[in-house]
Amino acid sequence: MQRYILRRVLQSIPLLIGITIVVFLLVHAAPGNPLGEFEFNPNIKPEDIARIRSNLGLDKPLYEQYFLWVSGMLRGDFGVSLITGRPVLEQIGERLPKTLLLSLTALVLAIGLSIPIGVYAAVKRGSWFDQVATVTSTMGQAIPSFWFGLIMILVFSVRFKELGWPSFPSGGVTTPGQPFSLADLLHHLAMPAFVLAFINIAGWTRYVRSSLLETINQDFVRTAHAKGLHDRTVIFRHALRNSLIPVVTLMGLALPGLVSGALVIEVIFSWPGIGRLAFDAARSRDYTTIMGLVTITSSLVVLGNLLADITYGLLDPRIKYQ
Amino acid sequence: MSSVVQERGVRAPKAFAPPAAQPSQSYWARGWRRFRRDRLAMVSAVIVLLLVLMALGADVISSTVTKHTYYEQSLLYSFEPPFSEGYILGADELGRDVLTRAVYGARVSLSVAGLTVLIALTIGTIIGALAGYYGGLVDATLMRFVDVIISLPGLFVLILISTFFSPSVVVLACVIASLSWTGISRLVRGEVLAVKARDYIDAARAVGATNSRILVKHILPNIVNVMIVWASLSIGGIILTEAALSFLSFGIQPPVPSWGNMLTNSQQYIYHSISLVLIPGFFIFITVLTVNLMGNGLRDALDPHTKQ
Repeated sequence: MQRYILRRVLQSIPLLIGITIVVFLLVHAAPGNPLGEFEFNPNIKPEDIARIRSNLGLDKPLYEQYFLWVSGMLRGDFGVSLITGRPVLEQIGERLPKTLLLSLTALVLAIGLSIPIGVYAAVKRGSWFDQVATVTSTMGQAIPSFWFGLIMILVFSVRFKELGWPSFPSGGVTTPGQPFSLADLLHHLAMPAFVLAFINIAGWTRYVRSSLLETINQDFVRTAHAKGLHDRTVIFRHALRNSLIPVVTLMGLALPGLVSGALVIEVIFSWPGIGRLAFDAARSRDYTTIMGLVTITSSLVVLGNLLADITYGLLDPRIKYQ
Repeated sequence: MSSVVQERGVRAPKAFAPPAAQPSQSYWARGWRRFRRDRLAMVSAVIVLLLVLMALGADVISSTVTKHTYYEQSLLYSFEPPFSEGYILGADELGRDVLTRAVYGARVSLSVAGLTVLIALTIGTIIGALAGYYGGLVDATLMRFVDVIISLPGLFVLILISTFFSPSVVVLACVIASLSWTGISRLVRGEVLAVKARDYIDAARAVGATNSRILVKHILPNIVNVMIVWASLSIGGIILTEAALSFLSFGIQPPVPSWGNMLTNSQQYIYHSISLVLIPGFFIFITVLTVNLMGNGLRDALDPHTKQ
């Protein structure tokens, strides 16, 4: 097992290097010249521009600039924002916990809902519950998440308030001007987390269902039935455990979507996470902040996939020997 | 891998053999017959066709049905509710006719999606075919590149690239395609690996066919079905991505309407008008739903492995 984990960790290093190269080249492909406005300023001499260029390291060859950037990041220096002048890492650091709170709540919600629904639909195959679940998940995969978010706001914030029913806040993390309380936070978290989870619930429910149906028809499950085990024991102890293995991979693959999806949800629900930060940074062409954000979020995705693979290895010992 | 390849090689002739009682049919004819029997997929295909016709006929609808252009404003009619006189689906905050904009939005959203799929299909097929056919270092390098692209958080990168350009339909399609080709490249690589081990490829090489001839004439026709199924199943996701980008104002720029950017301002006016939120989103929803259902039907009809 240790060798398997070590091998997977080593495999993700070239991946991280590849990601930094792609991000670096992307930002370098951006049109425009960082010193462009100086070149048209008659008060700035060409020598000065050359000096600024060399101070910023822009006169160095591309590969050297890349190594400078990467070694800076390894020391925790992601540069400063082009707009606010604050260190990029500091900005991301204060936003990241809020995104993690949102994404992880959505992940827990999605797992907690899709597995029971998928299992029940598979066990009661063909029942009205199964049919409703199938139709709902097919439709759920076709709903644009931002539109779903807007409709939730329309119903639970706007309409409910008009009707005088208990409503949900349409944005923010806590009610401004009030002391922090967990209940208030959860009240604000409920809608964005559910909307973010919903898309995955739709897909995963179908996947859990078909994976379990496949396992149920295998010989070892028939054997378990034949030895006279209770139905529930067969499903939960024998079939479900084995059918969850491919589901773990699927959830690992959904991580980039969960991070990216958070961007739209954060914009709609004014959730001050890194998605909102990326949105604002892109609108103000704050390239250093975006570079840092893309690098950090993709590293998180690589880390998440690594964890999913290790879980996979724990669940299915056969994997280690491949 | 070799065991998989052999197993397929042995099984394939049997699976492809037509039942004795029926006259022999081509693969595509059989696929079409199966697709026609799938009622849900057929209904979806008809709705998709209608949406495409609506997009193509946007000019006609604008001049004969709604009698409005998509950019014509009139503040006298802002927030006109649906089914009011002269505005079938109402008017937006600037008094522009919502139906006309939705119809032109269909044109924009569908052309971006269609173009994106074509570009992604081209890039993905070339990279997947090269990796699968040449193997070795080429394969390892290309597939690690695919791993890198998959790990990038899509929307973050897409909004970054969109800031470089002022996105038109073609530019937006290129931007979205630059991240969407990974799935098909993996599929094509797998198929090429399987097909390349067949005897007839050896036979072609033995009579002196060049690598490019083998790839184009002997391998490509065998993976067209995979490409069609992938295209029809991924187009829904691409429509959603385009809508999200345009919604965030990093996609198609107003006054040109797309279903996504019609929703951009709707949140601001959510207290004024519910229909401004509901209508464009409903178009996206119906399109993605029917395209997905059609794709499922195509997969079932064209994939020999799912045959009963």
